[in-house]
Amino acid sequence: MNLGEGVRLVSFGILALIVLGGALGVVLAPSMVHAAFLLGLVFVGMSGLYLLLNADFVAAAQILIYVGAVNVLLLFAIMLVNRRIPDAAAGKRGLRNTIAGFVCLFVFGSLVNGVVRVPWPISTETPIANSTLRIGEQFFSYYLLPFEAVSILLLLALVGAIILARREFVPDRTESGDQPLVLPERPRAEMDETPKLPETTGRR
Amino acid sequence: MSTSWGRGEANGGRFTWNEKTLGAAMSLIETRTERMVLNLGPHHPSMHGVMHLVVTMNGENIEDCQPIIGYLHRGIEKMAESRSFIQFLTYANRWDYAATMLQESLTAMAWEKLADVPVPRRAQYIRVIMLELSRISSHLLWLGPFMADLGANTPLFYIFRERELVYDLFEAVTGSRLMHNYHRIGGVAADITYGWVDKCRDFCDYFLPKVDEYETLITNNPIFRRRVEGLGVVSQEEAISWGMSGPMLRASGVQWDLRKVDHYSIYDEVEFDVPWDTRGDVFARYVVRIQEMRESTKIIRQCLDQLPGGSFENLEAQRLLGGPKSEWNAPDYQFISKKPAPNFKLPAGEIYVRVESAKGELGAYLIGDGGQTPWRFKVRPPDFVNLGLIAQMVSGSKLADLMAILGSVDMIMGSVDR
Amino acid sequence: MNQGIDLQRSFVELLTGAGLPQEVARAFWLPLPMVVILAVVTVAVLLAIWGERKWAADMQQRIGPNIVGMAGFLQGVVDAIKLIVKEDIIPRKADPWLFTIGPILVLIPAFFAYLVVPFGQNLIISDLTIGVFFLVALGSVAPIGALMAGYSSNNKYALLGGLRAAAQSISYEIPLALSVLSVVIMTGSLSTIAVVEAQNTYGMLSWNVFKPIVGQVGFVVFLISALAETERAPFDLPEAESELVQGHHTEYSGMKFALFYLAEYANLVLGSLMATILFLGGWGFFVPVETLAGWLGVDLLNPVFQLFAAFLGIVITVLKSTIFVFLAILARWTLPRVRIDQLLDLGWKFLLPIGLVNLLLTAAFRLAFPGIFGGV
Repeated sequence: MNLGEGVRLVSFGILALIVLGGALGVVLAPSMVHAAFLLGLVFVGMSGLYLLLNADFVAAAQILIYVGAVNVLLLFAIMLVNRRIPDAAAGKRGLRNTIAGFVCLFVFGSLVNGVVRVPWPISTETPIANSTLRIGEQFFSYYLLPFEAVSILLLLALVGAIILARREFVPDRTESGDQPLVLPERPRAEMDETPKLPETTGRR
Repeated sequence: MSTSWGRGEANGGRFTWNEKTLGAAMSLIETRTERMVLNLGPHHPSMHGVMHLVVTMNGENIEDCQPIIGYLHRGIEKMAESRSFIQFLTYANRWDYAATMLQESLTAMAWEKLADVPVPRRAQYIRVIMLELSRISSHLLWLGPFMADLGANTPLFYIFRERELVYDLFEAVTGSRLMHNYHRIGGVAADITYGWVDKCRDFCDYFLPKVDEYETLITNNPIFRRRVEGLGVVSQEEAISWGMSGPMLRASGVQWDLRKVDHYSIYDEVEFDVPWDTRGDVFARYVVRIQEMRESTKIIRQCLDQLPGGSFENLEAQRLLGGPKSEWNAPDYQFISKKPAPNFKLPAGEIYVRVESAKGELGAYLIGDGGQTPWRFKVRPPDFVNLGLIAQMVSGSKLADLMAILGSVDMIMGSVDR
Repeated sequence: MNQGIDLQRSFVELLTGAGLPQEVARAFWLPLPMVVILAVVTVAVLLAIWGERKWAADMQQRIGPNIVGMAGFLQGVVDAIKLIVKEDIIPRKADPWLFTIGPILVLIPAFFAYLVVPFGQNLIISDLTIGVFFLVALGSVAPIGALMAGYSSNNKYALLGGLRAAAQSISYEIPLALSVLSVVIMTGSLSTIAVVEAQNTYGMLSWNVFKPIVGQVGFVVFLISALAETERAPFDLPEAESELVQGHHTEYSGMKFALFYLAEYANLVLGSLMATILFLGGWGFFVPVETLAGWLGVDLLNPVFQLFAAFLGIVITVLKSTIFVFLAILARWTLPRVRIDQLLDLGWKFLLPIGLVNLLLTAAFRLAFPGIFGGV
């Protein structure tokens, strides 16, 4: 084993650790925001794995799309929408976790089974130098239909998102409203009260 | 699905924010953004001192805004009740530390009106020059921070370049740059100094091109125009019914300037226009203030030309030439009618005086009871009144607009809280 | 391709000549580029900060830093030392882990991107086949750090700043990528070296910015988007001090703040270098190097001339990017800040359509006039 292979092996080990650890963290982290950040870590690890496979374009695309766009949007949504989710089902947590754990174990087991049983052919071709060109050619020839179908799907999603986003959430302000919007954190009534001064010590 | 949220559940269409609607909404729409209450101030870079705004925001949009003032309350009005004029004048400087001469003048005018003390014409001219310089300095100190609120930091340095010159002029006459302590009952503390008139003319010649320079930098900047046009609109009726005054009122299409309306001091003897605008938005206020700086320069120039007795060099030379019986010793050429005694007594009575300050109608209500100190001294600060509409002006706009609108009000918290 | 100076080969040959096996020699080479990057970027950042302070001072009729070093030249170093020794405060209610990782995440992509920035034919750390794409991809990672910092500070200004940074970054990535893509179409390759070489066949005339219509449109779109991506005024909404105090930097102090500061200027310099590489012909002089060699009457492979050409390349690259740094500074100290909705409108409703049309035009032009627009 020469130096290059050694580096590759160690890199693979580290990346696999990152991906697996990150994925576990995504599932197990109590805070949603932490889970989302760990998801970003998983994506980065995946892109590292792609790099090890000489797929530099795919690796960069993984970073650009999954880390730079998907994960950021995910975080954005979490932070903007529901930063504190009231944990209503705290009592049933143990039961839910048990069931989820079993399902996960089952899926994991079947996947491992598949991985082990399938005789993976190992390509002896030398990796192509410029994968970007090849990917582009394939997209516009052999995979044109799926490519277009995915494009239309994305367009639909885009239009749907716009329709959702254009809804007016802001309540109309009524001019004569004698009962204004009450501040959720510091109610107006409380603020309007005259502050209670401490008792004077008689010297006045 | 969305309608029940948009209208609110209770109170027949009027939206109330309570546990019920909150809970219902949460189950209906998952994409609801959580409202955020932001405490802007009292320590915040663009709160002009210690203003405190409790802003309810939906994302970047402001839904509600409640101003909390009083952090800079120093009880100046109460202090006036235990101080004679000369003792109180140092406090009068400190309501609105951006335009100090105006407060002094108002205080002096209140005492003079109540005690019926005449003011020589030369003293009145000197006062008006000082007032207009003060107005320029106040507008300059409005322009810089206003632009800084909009994110352009460079004008702040430009305005201080000019403001320093105004300070220099003040310093030459009064001895201090910011807190002048210059007015006295019946005049001013000292005559203008040698060469001051020329110096002041030089300033006028220098200043007008600089105003043009601001305009070339700011006025037609597309980013600036888009930030301020149509923002924080106050209609004519609103402006009047909320008691606004000054540039805020004039920007809303009311040609109301106490210098023209009240005919006080010698403003009738100089010619100037009252800049006004009908748009009522932040940009209109900017235009009005920029134009007012030009008009003030115009007034200063005329006052320098018409100054009874002319420059101090001239006056002194004529007096020396004419000897004790010189006509240049006439009361009109004095800078003060009669030095008031330290125990100057206010007659019993009450009076309301007002001047057009840089920010609007600056009024004082003075009640004397025959003693050395006033029985009651109440100030009507223009920016406090102008600030009243802030919550209404900003609701529905973006957070960044809040700063632009707040900046356009031109308030000094020292004056608002006193 | 001509045989230029290949530092790595020379270095490895030197060590193998000293009796080391080739792989070990290569391993010795590995950390060197990283050290070079760290040093170069840090120096560049210090220079940019100094330039900004002096230029801003000139614009504002002040003097600027003038005490430490000649004309305040070392002020940035002193500030850095001050920030390093300053107490590092983590707010009690902050999320300590995310609070620490945030600034690092902002900084790392900025430094990584310098891997593919060429200063000459062989003066590049690694000539990736996807160089340009790599730059765009790395640029998209930065908002994660901003979001992390904004969230973990447990401060509303910081959260709003982080959200703004993310929204802005996502919005302007797309026009940026589109304008870069039009360059890639004209080049036919994603490698930064290839992009520059394609622009240097006829000297200045073949720079992308001088390609009719598409070059200029792409250039303007790129400049605006890059300025927005670096989050500097007039697009400095995430840290708009009049609204959000300091945005996601609000709670940071000491070295963590210095990392943000470093990243901001590293991004500024990077953006300028990108503009240089993509549109202004990178290290290319006004005339091609071959012509220059002809004028001087020396052989192209003459070692002295090679050295001279490499030096010229570095100087030209730095000079060209200084123009952009200056432009960014000029904009920052002249223009007011845009509002968040105006910013997003500009990105989505103006730059995006223009960028798309420009991309289509470029493709059409390349098919129609392959001679000018780099067709085959």
